[in-house]
Amino acid sequence: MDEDHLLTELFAISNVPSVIWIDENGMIARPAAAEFGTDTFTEITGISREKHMQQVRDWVHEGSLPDDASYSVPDLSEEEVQARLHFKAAAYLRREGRIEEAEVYFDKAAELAPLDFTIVRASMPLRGGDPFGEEFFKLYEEFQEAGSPFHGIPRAKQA
Amino acid sequence: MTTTSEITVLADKPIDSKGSWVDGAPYLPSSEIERTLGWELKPEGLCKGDACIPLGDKVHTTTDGTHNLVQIANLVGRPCLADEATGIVPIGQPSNIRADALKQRIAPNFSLPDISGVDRSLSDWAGKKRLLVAFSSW
Repeated sequence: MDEDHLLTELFAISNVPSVIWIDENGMIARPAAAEFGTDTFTEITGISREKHMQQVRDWVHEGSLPDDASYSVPDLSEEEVQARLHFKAAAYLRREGRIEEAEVYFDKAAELAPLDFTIVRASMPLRGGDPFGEEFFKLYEEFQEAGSPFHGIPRAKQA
Repeated sequence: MTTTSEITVLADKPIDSKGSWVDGAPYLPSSEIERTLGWELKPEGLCKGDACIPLGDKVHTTTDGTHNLVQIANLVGRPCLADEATGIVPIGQPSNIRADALKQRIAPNFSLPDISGVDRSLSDWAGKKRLLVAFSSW
């Protein structure tokens, strides 16, 4: 359970699901990529569960890595770092029942990183919204129009 | 203007500290700096293990011996916000740890509670291949 989104800071994660492969020596063998445990969303995402699972089997049994494993994930921008601080503040204030103060921080976090799902979509259920509702689909549309910015292996490279 | 009050530092976990706000900046005594950030203030500077960072003129210290927390966090590479109105100081993870993960591919160790509240660390499975899966329950 990652209430404060620690992993988004340590690994520059900006959407979920994100899967990172880590080898026996504690090195990142394949950086963050959007991968799914089922094919429920394959029609929307174009991402196959089985392809990833076979790549994992090949890595485990043979040590082979897919070509995209060498992809270099860009670091967070200053705005994205600040957005995470604001989200952390908002989540804490909300847990303390300080809802109005939390709302100010949620707003600022979303303003700083408007297309970051770990900020904007993650705050929806915390603010009484629906992460599968109209506001999510509006966010998803804006995300796609912006070229699907993501701190991880670009989807096109997984095809 | 100086206001003595409780300051909640949100670093690795929320910690309430006794400190003061000076012109909108949070100030804590040395003991609280170590409790909240894990760095000890020594004559040679800010120290953790064998590493020491000289303070130079980068950290303002008041006449009563309290230190500017934002400046100290920044000195150890941690981004920081300070809000006197809410009394909280969120502090982010060290930027060099993320840089090492992205550029050197060194997976940073971390601990998080599992669904039963038991802390689990990445290092619990050291020596094995691991899949780190970040997802949401929504």
